[in-house]
Amino acid sequence: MAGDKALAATQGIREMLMECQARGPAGPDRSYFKFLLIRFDDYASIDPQCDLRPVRKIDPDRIEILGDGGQTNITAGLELALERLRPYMDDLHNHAERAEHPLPLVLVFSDGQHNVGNMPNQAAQEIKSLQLDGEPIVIASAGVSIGDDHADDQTLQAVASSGCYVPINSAQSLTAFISSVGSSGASRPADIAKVLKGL
Amino acid sequence: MLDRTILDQLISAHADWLRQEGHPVVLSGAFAAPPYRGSVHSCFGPADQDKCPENQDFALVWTRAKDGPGLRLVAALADGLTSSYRSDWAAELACWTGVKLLTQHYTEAMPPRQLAGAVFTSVAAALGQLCQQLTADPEASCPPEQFLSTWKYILAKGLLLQTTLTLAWLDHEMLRVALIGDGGVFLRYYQPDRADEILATCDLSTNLVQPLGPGYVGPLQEWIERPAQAPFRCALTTDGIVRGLGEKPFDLLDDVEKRCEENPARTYIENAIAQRPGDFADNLTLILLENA
Repeated sequence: MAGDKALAATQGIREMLMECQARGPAGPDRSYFKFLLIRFDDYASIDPQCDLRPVRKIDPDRIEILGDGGQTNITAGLELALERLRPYMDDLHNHAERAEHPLPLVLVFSDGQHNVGNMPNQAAQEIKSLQLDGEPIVIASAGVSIGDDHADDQTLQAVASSGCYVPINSAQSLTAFISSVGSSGASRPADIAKVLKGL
Repeated sequence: MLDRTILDQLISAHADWLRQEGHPVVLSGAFAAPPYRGSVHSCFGPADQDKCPENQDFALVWTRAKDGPGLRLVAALADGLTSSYRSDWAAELACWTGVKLLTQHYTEAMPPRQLAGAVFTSVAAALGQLCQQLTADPEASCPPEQFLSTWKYILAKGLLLQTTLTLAWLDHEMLRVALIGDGGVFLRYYQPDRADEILATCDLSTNLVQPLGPGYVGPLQEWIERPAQAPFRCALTTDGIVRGLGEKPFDLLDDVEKRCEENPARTYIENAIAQRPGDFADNLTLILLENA
């Protein structure tokens, strides 16, 4: 992801962080959210400053999305997310405020065709099967088709939870998708779908 | 670095005027303007709450020093929104501004509801003025724990200085209450044929609230007028008290009726914190008004 799309994605993540930082009581140790950022091309990697870090400890200005034109391995991104989410969900099961604790939300967006490795369906299914008291983790995905690039709509739709896929055709919409859905605090498919409709 | 100087400058003119004309009771104490009297208490609430270290509620009751025309008793309470930056300042500024303007501009010729609307608009303007001063130099006003870009975002989106406001006053033997936000107002007449009245309350199923903010004022969410000649007791509360009372709001009046301390509002809150800290887990503010 490069050019205007990369700028739009960067802006979306920064706005999401700023919105999340603005919530809750003041103080650097009072974050309501944690953030995990995974970039993927041929491979996937975790941004070391956003490895399930409380949002109020992340400087939004230091976040940047800038692809180098490699291939698109959605599976690698989802597998890495799964690796982090499994122990997180295990901890949630023993959390003192388990009943009130919100579930993680997975956002996936890509402007390329999945063209490396296995299809991502199984990794997506495993993420969506992680649950707390019967509530599963939701994946919201966006296929970014701007200019000459065409997203892998079919694959991205398949990895998304029901009603949680959206095609994106402008840089503005990409920013709005990331910032609005990411900071919504919603974690149920119907609530996410409502946010997506409002974009 | 943000300090209180800006806020204190905005408040001082109101406070000086109110002290010159009468007796302001700030946060906690008893007051009287015969035949009316009452008590007020505001505090952080139970310890170990997931809230700012400051009490984001504020309360102010003013009584006139001399006889003569004009209002003799005005009460205000405000509840700064937890998620809104410096909402404790907003609550404080809203109370001082609201009480001062209401007292200063009250005339018998002006319809009370119209006056209340104008006062709330002026309170929003005062919050807007404070916001503008912070926005003028974001680098200087940025709190130390905040990233500058986030602070600019908060300023641009107006995600600060949001508060509820309840104003109550007595004139021409009428109790009048104007309210924006989710405060509670509970009234009991001591007459055999009068039922207790919930004049305002919050939605117990949600924390959503439409507050006052910088430069913004919505329509008054509640406008209440009731006769104040007969013996009555009225409780004005922030939502922390309402939520603690749950489905039995008049337990509060039942409780304070039995008390003869100088400040029953304080006693009630201290007992609530000691006995049911989980139910009353919020900043807590209560004003009791009565015609003795």
